[in-house]
Amino acid sequence: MELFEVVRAVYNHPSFDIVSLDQEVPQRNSFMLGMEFIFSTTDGVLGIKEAAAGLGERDFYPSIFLPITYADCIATCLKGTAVWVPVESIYPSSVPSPFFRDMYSKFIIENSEHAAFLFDTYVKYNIESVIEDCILYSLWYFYAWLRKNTGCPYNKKTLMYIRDNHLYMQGRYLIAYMTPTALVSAFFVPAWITPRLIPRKFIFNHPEYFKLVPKSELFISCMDSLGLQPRLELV
Amino acid sequence: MDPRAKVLAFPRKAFDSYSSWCDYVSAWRKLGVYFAVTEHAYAEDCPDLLQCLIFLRIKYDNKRNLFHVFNLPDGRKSCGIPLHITIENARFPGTASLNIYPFYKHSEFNKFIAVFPEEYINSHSNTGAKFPFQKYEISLEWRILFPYYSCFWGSKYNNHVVFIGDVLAESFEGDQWKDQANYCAIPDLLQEPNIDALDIRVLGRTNWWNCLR
Repeated sequence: MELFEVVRAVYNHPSFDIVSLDQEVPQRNSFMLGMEFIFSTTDGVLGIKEAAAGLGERDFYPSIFLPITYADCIATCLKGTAVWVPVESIYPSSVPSPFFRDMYSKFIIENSEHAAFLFDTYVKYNIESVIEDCILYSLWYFYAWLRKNTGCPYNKKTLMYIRDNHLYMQGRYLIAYMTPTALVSAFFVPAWITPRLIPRKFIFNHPEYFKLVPKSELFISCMDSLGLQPRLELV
Repeated sequence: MDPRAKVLAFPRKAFDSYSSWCDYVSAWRKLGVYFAVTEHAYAEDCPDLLQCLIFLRIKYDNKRNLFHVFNLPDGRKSCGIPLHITIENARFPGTASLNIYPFYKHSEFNKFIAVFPEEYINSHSNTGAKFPFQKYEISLEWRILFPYYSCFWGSKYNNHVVFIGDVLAESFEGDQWKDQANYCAIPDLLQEPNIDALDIRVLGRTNWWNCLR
């Protein structure tokens, strides 16, 4: 596996093993890791159009799906150390892509041996907390990317609030689901947080970037994704 | 399913949130009515009504998450039998009647009578054994926790609300239920090429966090 490939987990009954960087991926029983962001609103979700998301996959995203790569995990582990730029200092102007891993990509490539060692000795054995952190920092970074593309106000206080109140951790607004190919962690940005990140007025003034998808529409058009079927506990 | 079968259904809005459910039930209680039963043909074409569906799985034992696999005649594999809940005596294939009153915060029942769908009656296990039941009555301690569903399902309108029901294999007699070769773990089943679409949806709700090593 390469650093910028998606992390895979293999089902070895009765549990999943994370595939190391130097391992081959078996044909069967292998799942990719992914994360999904759903920006909830009081009556549905806030969808993001390609002009704002810039992911190059489709015209409209009712939710944002990002695969978790080895580089994502490494970048997450090394956040905020003396070597790395603390994540609090992410400014929209410094964001080159929607992916958090790109912030540290140069360093990761230059230190690939160290990265592989870190993955095998730390990430594999703390994968749950690494995924949680990965979600927090990727959301943080993606938000900066949105700000860069759309010019919406950048509310760092709310990002800190999500972190300090552990909203991104399991059992709060983070749920897990599986597809035949992926193990997905879906983070529901709560309905009272979404307008703090992207103000309602800004959403209504910029239909070229955002579209509110009411529940009634979600039920019928976007229900293939389990992430978009909110658990009642989260509503 | 037979269009004449009468199935339990609720307005979609009742499942919007826990408080929506309580509001709905309170309003109906005042009238002395707790549920709506409607003809399947009508409910199927109504996007605003959610039909209650049980996804009945047979679990190998309490220790392992292994579920009995049904190999359907058209080649699909499934580990859960879909059964619409009905209040009248179950007569039509694909329905189950429960002694269940009233629908409130949760509903317990201890008797379950199902008429299994034709395709499951004609299915066979991994070892080739035939589906052993025609109509089955089982006593079990289980409760549906309304309104906490597993997922929504439906090819046209997503107008089924699915509740998972697990029954231990030891509830049944016969060698077929004891043979572990007839069972499969959820991740293995999800990667089967011919897995049933409802199974993908329901099994996808499995929390894999607990299985990370």
